[in-house]
Amino acid sequence: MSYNESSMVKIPLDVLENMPELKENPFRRRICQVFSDDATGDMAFDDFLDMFSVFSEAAPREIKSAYAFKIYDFDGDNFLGRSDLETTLKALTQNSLKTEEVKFVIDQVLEETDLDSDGMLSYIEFEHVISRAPDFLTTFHIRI
Amino acid sequence: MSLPLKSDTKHLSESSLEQSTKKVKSILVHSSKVQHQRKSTRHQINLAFQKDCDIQSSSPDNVDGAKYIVSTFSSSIDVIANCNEAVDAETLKKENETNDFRLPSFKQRMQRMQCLTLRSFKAKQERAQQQVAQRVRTIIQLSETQSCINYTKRFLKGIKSMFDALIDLWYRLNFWSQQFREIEGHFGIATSTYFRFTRWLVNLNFMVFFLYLCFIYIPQLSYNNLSDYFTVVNDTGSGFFYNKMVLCSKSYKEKLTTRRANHHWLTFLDIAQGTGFLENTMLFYGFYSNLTVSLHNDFSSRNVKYNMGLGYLLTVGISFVVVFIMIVRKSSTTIKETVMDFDNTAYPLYTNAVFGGWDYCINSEKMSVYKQRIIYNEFKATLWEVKMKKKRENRSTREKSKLYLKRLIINLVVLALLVGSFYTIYLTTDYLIKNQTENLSEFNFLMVNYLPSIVISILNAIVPEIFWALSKVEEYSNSFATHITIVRAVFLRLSSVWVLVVSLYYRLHYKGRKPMDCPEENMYNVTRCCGNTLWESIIENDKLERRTVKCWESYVGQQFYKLCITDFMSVTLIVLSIKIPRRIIHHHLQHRIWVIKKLGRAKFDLPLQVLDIVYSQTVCWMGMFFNPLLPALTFIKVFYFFFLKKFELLSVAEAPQIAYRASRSYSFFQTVLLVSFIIITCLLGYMIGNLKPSMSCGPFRVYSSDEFVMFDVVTNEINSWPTVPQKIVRYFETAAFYVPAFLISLLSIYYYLAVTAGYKKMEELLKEQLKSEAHDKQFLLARVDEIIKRGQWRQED
Repeated sequence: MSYNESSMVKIPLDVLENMPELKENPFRRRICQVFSDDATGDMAFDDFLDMFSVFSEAAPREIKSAYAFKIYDFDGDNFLGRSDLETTLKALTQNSLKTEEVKFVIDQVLEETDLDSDGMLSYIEFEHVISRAPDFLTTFHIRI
Repeated sequence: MSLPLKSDTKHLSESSLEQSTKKVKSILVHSSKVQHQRKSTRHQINLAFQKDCDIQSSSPDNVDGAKYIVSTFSSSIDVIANCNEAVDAETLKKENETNDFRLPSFKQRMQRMQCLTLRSFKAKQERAQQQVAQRVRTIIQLSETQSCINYTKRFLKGIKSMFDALIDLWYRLNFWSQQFREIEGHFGIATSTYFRFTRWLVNLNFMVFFLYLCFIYIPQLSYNNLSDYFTVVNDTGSGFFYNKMVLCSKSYKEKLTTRRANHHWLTFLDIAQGTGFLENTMLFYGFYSNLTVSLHNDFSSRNVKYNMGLGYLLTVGISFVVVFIMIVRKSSTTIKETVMDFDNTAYPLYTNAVFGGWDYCINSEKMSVYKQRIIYNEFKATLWEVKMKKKRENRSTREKSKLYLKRLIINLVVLALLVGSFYTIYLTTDYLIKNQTENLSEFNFLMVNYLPSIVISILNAIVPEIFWALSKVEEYSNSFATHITIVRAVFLRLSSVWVLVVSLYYRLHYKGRKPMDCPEENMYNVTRCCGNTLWESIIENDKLERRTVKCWESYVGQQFYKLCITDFMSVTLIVLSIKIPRRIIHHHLQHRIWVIKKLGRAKFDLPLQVLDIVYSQTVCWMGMFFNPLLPALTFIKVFYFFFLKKFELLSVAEAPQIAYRASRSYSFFQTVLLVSFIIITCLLGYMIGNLKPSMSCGPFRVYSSDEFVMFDVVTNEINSWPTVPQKIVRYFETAAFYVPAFLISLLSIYYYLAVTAGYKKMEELLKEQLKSEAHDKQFLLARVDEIIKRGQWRQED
């Protein structure tokens, strides 16, 4: 692959979604969208490398939390609002939690993290709480 | 994944490409500057670029541009070459032709014009190229004057590449990564921490084995082949006591090496019990000699000595220190998270579950469904806990008192179970020693020999399950119930080894228990007792003679050897005979018989599995002193356990239903290991410092009278040093060293505690500050809004 092609040849989204590392991930579509240049989900080689370097074990916490924030921000407004959290939770549990349980969990999450009580998580709050969550670093990585 | 994904290659290719593009860019920039006046050539270059529609930019700053330039140059040079030839041929032809004054044809004229323009073009190009080359040469010369920086850059690059190669080698040495991928893909990271822990233990065992190899095995082997290069020097001892020791050693060796009829059954018995010919090998303490060997060298003034006893003791000490350092280092990284766990107010339970819940490593469909179920169960469990907590707060006093009573009773039951297990172990050990000299058949004797180990294994398997069931009745919260069961099971396992050793000590060292008297030793006769009550049997029987205990350290070593073998066999047998049939039955009959479906497959319960492997390691550490080959045996055993457990997890058992937190699990494993290690060290330290060694065997034979202990080998060594080092070492024994050291440690601990408290306060303050900043931001935004509105309102007026 020549230098030029590494930023121009793109793999389409449906091929990426069927990759063994991403096949079972409920957030795969969002991951591809975050890492692709034009938010369509088609990734060039550079984007592909970026994705795997962020998901590697050696990536520092700040980079991982920055990208995690982008991934979980489904509506793209730079805030993790209630709808974003709801979508995350539903993807995690395959819609098996009841509505009031979902509401309760989201209330608890906001209570733990929302420092300025605006009902949304900004990046600073997200990073602050992730630094205290011990499982984030260990689970947010893909082994190749 | 067929695409290369090493970031190194990306960087390499990027950097080299960058370099080449930079070089070409500079050359072309300069060349374009030079040709600023030569518009025709510039035009030529532009034409060359616009030949291909892909290259859109007219400024030649990429590799393909450079290629085009080169190709156009070369093609024009080719044409010019042809053209030269053509022209020369033409002129030659013309000259050869006799007075042909015909005008050249149109074609020829066009050709010649083309040639001329091309030639002038070529001349201009050459001049341009020469100027470019000149520029490049000056640039290179300039850069060479900065050669210092270049050299250091290259040097640093060389070092960096060396480091990269070392790191690569290190990753390759971390074997089994393929296996981990497989496990993680199916069961997630938390389960694979158990297997990582196993690999770490294998590494630990290998290090200890290596130490032993250097300082114990190889010297001992060389002792066996004493040649002219060595002179044997016995450092200590003289007189009556020394002679007795020599006689005892001789008679012990004789007893071990007398061969009886070479029955297969007897050989098997010997291997199983560690007696007979096996006792006379490097496996047991009794084989090691106590001699100090020195290199006999006439030409050097110094004698190189190797004191086996000192070497033995120091190797054991150093391997314990090494193990301790490795455990502490490993747990220090995980203690942070343990502390965070305990601070419940700051631990973001729900956020951790939501954002750290999904394990990105999972790549099998079965496991993803499974993981979602686990996450769902975890949320359900947390919500249930919240409900339970509310219910607990609303408990009436009457219910509370009933619950406390229940808990008290259960604790008493647990205590009773523990005491009962210990007493059983003591009884079996007692029985074993009593029957050491009884007239039992061989098979019965084998059974009796293995009785303590088998009893310990059975207790270790059954009692924790009982503890599990009991904890459910106590109505603790889930996590607390798990913790308390594990604590109880750990206590049981560690203490069984303790009890075994203590009962052996009680039996072997307490004189006056047996009615057999040790007659007065006579210097000139073969001694009757060698200081050991179990030295000889009263009845002159060949079979019984074989069973006497002449070397108590080897005897203890044999018990540990049996424990090790029993552990190995029991784990294998449980998997083979209980878990595999259970799975087969479950597979075939689960739809027909409801009970089997309810019982399900065997569960791969992480805490209990960890206890298994920590127990193996504990036995190894405990027996390391008496059984120098035990680290090697344990290395093989743990290696084998890895694959056995992996087989069990993947094919036989069911994955754990409760979601284990990866971080918490690893810190828990390390804590359990550390606790066992400390207990073992205390026990062994007491033994080395307080017990009298055997007279007939081992590296400490000379210290076997009543006033000496094993540690005296070190004391004697220090006594033989010159005055000044001796005084220094003696200083460390006095109170003048201990009291200040103790005070300094206390002060530093207090200081670190104070600093931690300060950091906690700072964290609170910073949290408040963040909150107030956000409030300020909102306030300011509201004011700005207000002002804008006021401005608009004024405008509308």
